[in-house]
Amino acid sequence: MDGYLSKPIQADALLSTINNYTQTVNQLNCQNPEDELVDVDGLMARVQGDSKLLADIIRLFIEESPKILKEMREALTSSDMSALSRAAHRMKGSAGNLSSKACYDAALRLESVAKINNLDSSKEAYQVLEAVTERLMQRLACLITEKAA
Amino acid sequence: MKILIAEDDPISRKLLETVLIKWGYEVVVAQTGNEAWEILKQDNTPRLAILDWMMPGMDGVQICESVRMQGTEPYIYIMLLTAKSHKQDLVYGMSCGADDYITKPFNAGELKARLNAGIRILSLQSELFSIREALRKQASHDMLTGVPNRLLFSDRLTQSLACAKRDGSKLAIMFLDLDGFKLINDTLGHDVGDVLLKKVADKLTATVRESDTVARMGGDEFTIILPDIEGPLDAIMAAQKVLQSVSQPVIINGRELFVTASIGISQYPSDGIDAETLVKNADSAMYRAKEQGRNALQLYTESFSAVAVERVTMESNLHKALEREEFIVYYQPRVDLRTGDIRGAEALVRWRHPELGIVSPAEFIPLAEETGLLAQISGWVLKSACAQNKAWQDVGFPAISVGVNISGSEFQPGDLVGSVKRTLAETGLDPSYLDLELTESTLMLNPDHAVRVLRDLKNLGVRVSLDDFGTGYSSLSHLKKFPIDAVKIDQSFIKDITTDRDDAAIAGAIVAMAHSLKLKVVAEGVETFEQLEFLQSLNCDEMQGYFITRPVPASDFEHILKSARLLFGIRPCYAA
Repeated sequence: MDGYLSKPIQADALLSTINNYTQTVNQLNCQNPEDELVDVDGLMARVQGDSKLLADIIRLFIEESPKILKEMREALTSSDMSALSRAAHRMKGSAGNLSSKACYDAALRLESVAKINNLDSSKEAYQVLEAVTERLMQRLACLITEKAA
Repeated sequence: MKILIAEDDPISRKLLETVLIKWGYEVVVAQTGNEAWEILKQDNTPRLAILDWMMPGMDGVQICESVRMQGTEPYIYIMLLTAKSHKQDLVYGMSCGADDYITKPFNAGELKARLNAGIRILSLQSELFSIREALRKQASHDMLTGVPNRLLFSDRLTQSLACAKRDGSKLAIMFLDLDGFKLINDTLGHDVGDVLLKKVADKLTATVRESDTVARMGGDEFTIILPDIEGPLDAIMAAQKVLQSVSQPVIINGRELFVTASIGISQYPSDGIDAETLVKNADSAMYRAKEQGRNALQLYTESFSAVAVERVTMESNLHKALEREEFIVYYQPRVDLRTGDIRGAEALVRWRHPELGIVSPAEFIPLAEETGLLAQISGWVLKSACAQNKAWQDVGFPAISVGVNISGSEFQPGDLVGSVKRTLAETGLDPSYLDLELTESTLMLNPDHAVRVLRDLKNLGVRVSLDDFGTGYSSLSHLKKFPIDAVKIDQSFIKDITTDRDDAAIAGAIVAMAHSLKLKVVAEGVETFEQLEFLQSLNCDEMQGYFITRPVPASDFEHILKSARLLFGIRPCYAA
C-alpha cells in the first residue's frame, strides 16, 4: 500500500495524496533505476531511520549471503533438495528483511522448486537468485554511504 | 520490561534487538530454540517472548507447548515470528499456546502495536495472579498472625514426614498453648489479645530455624514442625528458646504484658509415625506440661496416652453407671472404744464396673466432680444409706447412725439442707441417726456460710462430724463456732501413733481439746491392737479402721451387727 484516504473523502486530501505518489514514482524511476531492487523507504522504516542499524544489517547480509549461496551450490552438487530448500528459506527471510522484493521472489521460487524435488528448475532458479543477490549486495553497499551522509 | 527474542537468523535478530532496545525494552537474546527454553524455565524469566517459528532444534511451536505444559506462573506472553503466511499454520501455532504472531519481514508499527496489546494482557494477568495468590494465602494462612493455618500445617507435616521416612531422619512437633490467655482476653479485651497473639507468632517465627514451620491451630494454640533433628535434645533446646522468648514482656498500648507458654513435644518416629498421632501426642504432652505448673516443656511418653484413653473411657462409663445402677454403698463400722458397741457406720460409695470390677472412689470421684456427676452420685448415696439404716432398724438391729460424706461442691447454699430434708422424709429415717461428715477445708472455704448451713442442719436434727481433722487449717475459734458433734482424727496421725511422739502428742491434744468443747472424738484408720490400746489410753471415744474390718457390702455388715462385741475383744480389755 502506498497511501490511504480516510472517508468521507475530501478533495484536497485526495489531490495531495495523488501528487505525493506520482512524485515518488518519478524519483524511483528517474534518479535511481536500481531501486526496484530495494524498497529504500520500507527498509528505512524497518530500521526506524537508524543509519547505524542499517549499516549493521547490510554488513550481516553481505557476510551471510555468500555462505548461503555456497551451501546452495553444495546442495545442488549432492542433490540434497531439503538442504537446498532450507537455505532458500533463509535467503528469503534475509531478503525480506532488507526489503528486496526481487531477491525475495527469486529465493521463494528456488524454495518452491526445491521442495518439489525439481533439480533442473532448481539449478535455473539458483542462477537467477545468485545474480540478483550479487546485484543486491552491490546496491546495499552503496546505500550505506548514501544514508550515512 | 524484559523481552526474550529467540531467532537463529542473524539479520532478524539484529533488527529486532536494536529496535526493541530503542523502544526501551531490556532484551534477552537466544540464538537457538533450546537456549530460549532454558531461559524460559528459570524463575526470573522475561514474561514477553518473541519466538521464531523455524529454528533448528526446538522450534517456536515446541517451546510454546512446553511453556504451557509447565503452566509457568506468572504468565508468559508468547509471539510467534513466522515467514509463513498460510492461515492454517497460524491457527496451528496459536492452538499450541502462542498468544499472537508477527510475520517476517516485520513492520515496525505493527510489531509495536502487537507488543503493546501483549503488555496490556500481561498486566491483567499479573493482577489476576496476585488476586489468586492472595486467595491462596488466605486459604492456607491465619489471617490474624500471617503464619500457616491448620490446613497448611497438615500439608507441611505430611510432606516433612514423607521426607523423614525417605531419608531416615527424625523430626519433632511442638504443641504450644499460652498460659492464662483467656484471662488476658477477658480482662484487657480481645483487641489486646489479638495483638498479643500476633506478637507471639512473630516471636515464634523469629526463634525457630527458617526450615521450621510455625502454624496457628486456632485460639492461643500454636504448633511448630522441627524437621531433620538429631534427637530429643535438639527439640528440648528449641522449646527452651521458645519459652524464653515468649516469656519476655511485650508492650501493648503502653502496658507491659507478661505471658508464658506450655509446650508439649512429640517425635517421629518414636512417638508416632503419622501426622494425626504425632499432633495428638504433642497435645497430651502439652497438657501434662500445664499440670506441672506452666511455663514448662514436656516430652511425650507413652503413659500419657494410656492415661488419656483411660480417662475418656471412664468418663463415658461413668455417665452410664448411674442408669445401670452400678454404684453400691459399702459400710465401715464405727465402734465405741470403751464398750465395743457399734455406734455407727460410714457409708462409702463403690463403683462395680462390669469389666474393671470394684473401682475405688479415689479413682472416679475427681472425674465425677469435673464432669458434674458428683451431685447425682452423692444424692444417690445419701438416699441409699438412709434407706438402708432405716431398714436395719425396722428388722430390729440396735439403732446406729450412718455417716455420709459431703463434698465441698455439694456444700452450697440451699441445696444441701433441702436435699437432706427431702431424703429423710422419703426414707423415714429419724434425723438423729444421720451423720453428715464434712472436711475442715470444706468448711474453711467460707466459714460464715458454713456456720449458717451447719446451724440449719442441726435444726433438722442430724449429726455433723468434722472429717479428716488435723490435716486442714482451722482455728480454734472457728471450731468453737461450728455447731458440730464430733471430730474424726485423720488416719495419718493414727498410723504411727505408737512410735512417733509428735503424732501421739497431736492426737492427745485433739482429744483433750475436743472433749473440752464437748465434742466426741473418732479415730480413723486403726489397723492394730496396739493403736487401739493407745487410743483407749488417750480416752478417745470411738474408732474405725481395718483392725475391725474394711468397708463391706450391706449384707456382710449385717453379720457384723449381729456379732459385733464378741469379735473385737474390746470388752475383755475394759472388763479387766
